Amino acid sequence: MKHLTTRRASARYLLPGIAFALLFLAGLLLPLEANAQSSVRPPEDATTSIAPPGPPLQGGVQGTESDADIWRDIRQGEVGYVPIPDKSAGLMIQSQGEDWRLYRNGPMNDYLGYAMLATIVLLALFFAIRGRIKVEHGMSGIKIKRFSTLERMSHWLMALSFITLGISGLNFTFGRSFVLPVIGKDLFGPLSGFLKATHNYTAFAFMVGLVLAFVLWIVHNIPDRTDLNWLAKGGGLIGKSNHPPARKFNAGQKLIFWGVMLLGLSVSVSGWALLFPFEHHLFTSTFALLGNIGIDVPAILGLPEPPYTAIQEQQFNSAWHGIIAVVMICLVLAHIYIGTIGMQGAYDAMGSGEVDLNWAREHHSLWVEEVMAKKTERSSPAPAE
Amino acid sequence: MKAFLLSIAVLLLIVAGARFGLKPLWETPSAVAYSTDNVRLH
Repeated sequence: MKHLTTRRASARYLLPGIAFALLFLAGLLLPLEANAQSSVRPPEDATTSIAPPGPPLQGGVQGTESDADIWRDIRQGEVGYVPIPDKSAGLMIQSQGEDWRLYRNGPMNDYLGYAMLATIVLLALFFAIRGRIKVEHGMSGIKIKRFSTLERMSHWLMALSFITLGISGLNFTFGRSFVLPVIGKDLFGPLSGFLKATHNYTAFAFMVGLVLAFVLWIVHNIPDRTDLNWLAKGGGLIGKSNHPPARKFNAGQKLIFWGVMLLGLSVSVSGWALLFPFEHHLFTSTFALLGNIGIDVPAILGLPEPPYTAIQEQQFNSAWHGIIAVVMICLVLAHIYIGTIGMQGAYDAMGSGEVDLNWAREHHSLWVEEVMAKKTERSSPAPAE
Repeated sequence: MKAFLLSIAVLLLIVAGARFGLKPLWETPSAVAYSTDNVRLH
């Protein structure tokens, strides 16, 4: 009896189980359309598509159809029609933008970072090996005027604006990688906005400083014969009692001057084109100019052939601006090094404007002679005729 | 020190001048930005 009850109980669960399995299999075997059928039947005259009347649109108005040709054209920079004055908005995908983005976020950022790190490491190594360049005969205690207030003001104007531009500019390039993870999005966003505005407006102070320095110092930075001798002796940086004669600026300082002037001009022009976008075609013009003298820059660098669109010009400007700025940063790091910890007595030139006579005799002997000769001329009046 | 402080003053002056001088050029007032001359919505 007990055995019979168990069998009946099994049959009670077996039948619904088989029925469920059959339903499940039927569900799998039924066509998909049947699954998609709605229980609500639309009226006979209902519109089944939202497509407008007329011939069918390419690509399908609902985007449900794929049209490889039209999307390939858009991807390759096909310009469509837009009913607004800015016709450049008709360009849906600027294909070169992706190339620029990958270059900027990839090799460009990497190499610029390595260049700055390498400069710092080299300077640290040089300092470790050479140590501080001291005034060999010791400080005399006699001061000689080296730079006027206007000269120093111009230098500091350029220096302060450059440091501000450097910090804010590096935030554009490396901030997302290095600053954002440390301070978080909430702070990084407003900070970057502030730094961007600071960068834009401080640029004008840098340009003013650059022009002032050019006007004040060009006359002392024209290369002459003494520079060759100075360079041949390595500027006296290596070894002792090896100070080649120099005028107000030695060859090393002249290199810094011309480097800052030329790179500063380039960074200012590219920065100007970024501040006032889509108005200049610097790269198309420059490449055409260089092409006329047989230098095919696009072919050398593997760039697309000019003429470039306004947005391409902006992308080139952005990359060029960053590269030149970092080259300047490396140059200025070396300048700061030699003007501060690298050489005893050098900072006074831009600090107080007066340098020690012994320092001046060791590093700018010809300039000291010129200054002394002028002093003697002033102190001894010309004999009456 | 005098030259350094002077350079800070000149820098701030130029930055402030650029800020106020270029504001109308860089920031378009909404009345102009959304005028029918600038934007056509039909």
